Amino acid sequence: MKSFDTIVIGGGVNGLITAAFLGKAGNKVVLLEKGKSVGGLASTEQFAPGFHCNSVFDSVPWINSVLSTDLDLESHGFRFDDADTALSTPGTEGKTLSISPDTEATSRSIAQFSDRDAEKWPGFCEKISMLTDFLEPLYGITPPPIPELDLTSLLSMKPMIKPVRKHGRQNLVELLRILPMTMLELLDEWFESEPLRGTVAASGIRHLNQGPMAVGTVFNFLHHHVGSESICPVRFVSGGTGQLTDALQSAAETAGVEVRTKAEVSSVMLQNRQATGITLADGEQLTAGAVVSALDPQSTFHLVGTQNLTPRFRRRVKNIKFRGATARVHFGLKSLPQFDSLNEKALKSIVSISPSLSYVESSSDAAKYGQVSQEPWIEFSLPSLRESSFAPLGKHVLSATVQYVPYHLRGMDNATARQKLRNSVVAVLETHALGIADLIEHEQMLTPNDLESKFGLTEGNINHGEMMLDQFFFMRPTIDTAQYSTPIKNLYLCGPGTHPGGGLHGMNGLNAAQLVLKGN
Amino acid sequence: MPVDRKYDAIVIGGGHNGLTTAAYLARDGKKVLLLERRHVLGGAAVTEEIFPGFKFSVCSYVVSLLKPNIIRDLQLSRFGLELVPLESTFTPLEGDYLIRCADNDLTRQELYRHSPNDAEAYNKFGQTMSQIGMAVRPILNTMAPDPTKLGFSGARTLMDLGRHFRSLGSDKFEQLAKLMTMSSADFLDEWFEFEPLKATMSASGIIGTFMGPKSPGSAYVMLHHYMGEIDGVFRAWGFQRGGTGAVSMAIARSAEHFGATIMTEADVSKIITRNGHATGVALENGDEFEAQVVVSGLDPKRTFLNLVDASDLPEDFIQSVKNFRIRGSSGKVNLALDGLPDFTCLPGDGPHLSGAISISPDFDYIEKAYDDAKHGSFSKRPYIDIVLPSVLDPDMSPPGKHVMSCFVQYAPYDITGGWDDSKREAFGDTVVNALARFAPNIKDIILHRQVLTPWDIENTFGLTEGNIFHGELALQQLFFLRPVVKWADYRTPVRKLYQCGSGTHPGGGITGAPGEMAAKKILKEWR
Repeated sequence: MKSFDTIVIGGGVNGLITAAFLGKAGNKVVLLEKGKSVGGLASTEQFAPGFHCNSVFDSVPWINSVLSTDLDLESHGFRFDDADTALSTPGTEGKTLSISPDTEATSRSIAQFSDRDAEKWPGFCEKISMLTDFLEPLYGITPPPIPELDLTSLLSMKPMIKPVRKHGRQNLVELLRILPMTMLELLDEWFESEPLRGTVAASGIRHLNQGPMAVGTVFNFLHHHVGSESICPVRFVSGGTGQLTDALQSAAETAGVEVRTKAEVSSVMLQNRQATGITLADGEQLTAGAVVSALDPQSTFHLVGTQNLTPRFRRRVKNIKFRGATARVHFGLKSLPQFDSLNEKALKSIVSISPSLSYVESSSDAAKYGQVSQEPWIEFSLPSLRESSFAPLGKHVLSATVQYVPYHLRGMDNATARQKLRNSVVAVLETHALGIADLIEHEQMLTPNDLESKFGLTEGNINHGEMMLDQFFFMRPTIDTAQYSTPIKNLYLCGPGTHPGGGLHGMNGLNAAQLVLKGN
Repeated sequence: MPVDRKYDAIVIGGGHNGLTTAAYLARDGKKVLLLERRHVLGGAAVTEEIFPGFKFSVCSYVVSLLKPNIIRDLQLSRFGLELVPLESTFTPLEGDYLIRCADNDLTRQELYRHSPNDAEAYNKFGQTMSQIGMAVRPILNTMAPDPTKLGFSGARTLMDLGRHFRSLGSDKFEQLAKLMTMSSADFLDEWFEFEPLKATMSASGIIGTFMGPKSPGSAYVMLHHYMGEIDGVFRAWGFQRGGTGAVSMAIARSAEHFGATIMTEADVSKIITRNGHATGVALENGDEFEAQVVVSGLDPKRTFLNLVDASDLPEDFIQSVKNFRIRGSSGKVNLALDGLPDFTCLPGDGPHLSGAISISPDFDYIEKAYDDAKHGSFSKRPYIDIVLPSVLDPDMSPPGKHVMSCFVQYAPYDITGGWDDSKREAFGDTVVNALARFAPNIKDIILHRQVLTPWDIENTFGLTEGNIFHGELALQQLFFLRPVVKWADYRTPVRKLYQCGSGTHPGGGITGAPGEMAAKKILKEWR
């Protein structure tokens, strides 16, 4: 039986980061990935002969800078491609709203719809950046055990002093006021023009099962702006999102980590309620002083076996809300489609179909009743315009994130849902690019049910658990596992199901690695 | 009767909170004048004989949250307060029903019929909710601190609260954290499985708010409604004999007993200030009164955007008041009946008619009602909370006849195209049709019908946008954020002007708490 200091389960961003940092600290680490390559949700893959796509994330708005400095990701081939990034929205009468890091240019674009909003835009940018200044240090903190707070855990909140000093206590209270708001309420305080309201609101609903009129959407909105310089941030990884995890793998291996692919873990071995190692699907057993899981909490504790959990803890895990409502769609296109109001520059970046806030809210209605939205919110890009290697010469790839497609379907099976998803996406795209339907050569539809089976995501939730206020900070993923440790000794969590939640920022893996090192 | 022009304190608005403040100030020996715009007292807690012989609690219709210490301090029982407990909640269904009543054994037996799991979980749920309700109650009685400049007392308040929550332990703290943030549907899903039970229970999470049961935040509103107590009995709702107006009248009589002067049909048009101090009020008819202290029981928008001159207020304060969310979402239909409604699923007279009747067959029903409203129309199939006060209190109607109060959601204030007479009637018809689905005889026994849209509620009772809580009970509008941060302790930017309505901490319902706490603050600062 092979023996390690640490076993990391799952080769996504967070698993790789945890492994790399533990390896760097001198631990003997093995990382086990079920698939034939690492990457997880950050994968770039070939979905049809000659056609490539970023499976889930086209844009990576924020990576904690510690990662690139400490792991020197650049030397492992990772680079951001920030040229000409903007989030564009087709408005009425052929006008296009374009939100980019250039505040003045954005204001000019907004002025097409409302002078008042254009004037207010810089103030809004400042406000959001002030609010996220508070969240950024919070994201580096291991949540204190609540309600059993003691002095040590209070001291761990020390990084919060800096933003409070910078912005004043008054603004901390302002954060408390704004955090529980709905996107509708926030936007009512600022803007009147519908394409702007719809588009900003849409970045508050990303990967949620809720519409912009729901409490918690502002929190989700701020979450997607932590660490970023601009509103509705767009950032691409040069060569495709998968380059990030490739670089992480290379960094981990340089740090001495053994990365095993096609290694599916079937159970976590226990002795006296302590994790001692894992058993692979082929029967091989590996032992270790610590087991760190990058899987979502439910999948993780499934490996432990529910019979090994106390009823109370089992209930808490069962009550975690997943309910994926986001689908991904990839089309291989014969040629570049002709969009009415979007130029090539817009298509090279990200486009959001969000003409108004009520459009986005309406698209969330169907999901509440287990139906697929007929007029969904769609965010798409044509990655082949940036990376010519993504498609054969002259051909293109269109990748879209689509909401809402519920995991819990009513009165239909997943195949029907997939068909409905295709129909509504094509119908919406047709209104902006007549004839696009005829250009489709290949397609890949990923409903939440498909995402579950493809990536092992419980209920297809990309964030390993809803990013809502009831699953935030000391409540993520449950009140007794928010410190990356679990009731099973030597078993740790490092995935997006933990604080501070989803995305490719890597904070979860980083925080967890620090904790595991302390524990050892 | 000649009226004095000079007082120690003037209270604007004769709702139950304004009356409570007036009574407490008078009890302390102050010379108090209370001014009410309408011809009747009570604000939203008012009883009126709308049709000859039929008396209605026109707006607010049940009492649960009135604080026991107020009842004692103001000797309300002596002045006519008489609460009759509301014994049951009846949810009619197609071909079946759900009834929960004061007898816990019977309720669990009934639940067992629908779901053994729910019958088992029911008591534990009730205990948990009451423990959390008790844990939160001290906050309701705490003066909200100003967190932007915590002095010694503010810091102590927060530390006390911290210690208090620590004492809850992880299980209860977890439930509390969930109640503060989740939707009532999600919260109840963690406990129960029988849809009509969950839907009916979730309804207290949407009353008075512009949210559906699946909207996060609605669980808190549910908790808010659980914090009531009548005579120390937890989570008991009641009727007031003579309608909710009799609650207000009891407080008014108490105030008068302590020496307060009450004037009706006295419409305040302006709060008079000098050098940033409130010095009195002017009425619509030109009369003016002077006082050392002015207290407004109106909602924050009415007080600061209508009565106070904008030049007396800081700009950011005005902006905050404008940002205060106060969307109206409910309507009221009051029916005078020639007999009792006959429910298909449980025919005839019976104890199920003496409690609350809830049209809430499942989550989807209520959620779809909300969808209609958020897209700008009234619910095609509304949620309705019904009581028949005349069953328990025969004085409310002529013999053999009845009054029926229907609280309806959703009726959005911002209905597309605005409310008009034909929409009001269509809304009334919709409510009657929704009732007829379960009690088909209803159409034949209606003698009179009064329909109140949010516009009517605003015009008649002066509630901005028809919001019954003077501002939504959303997390960002609670405690030290209600109504505006830095001004959550009943003071205002105008010196000697205070507020005491439901728009202040701890919010709406017939609690009297804002009125009481405002009076205490005023007396503490009195010079």
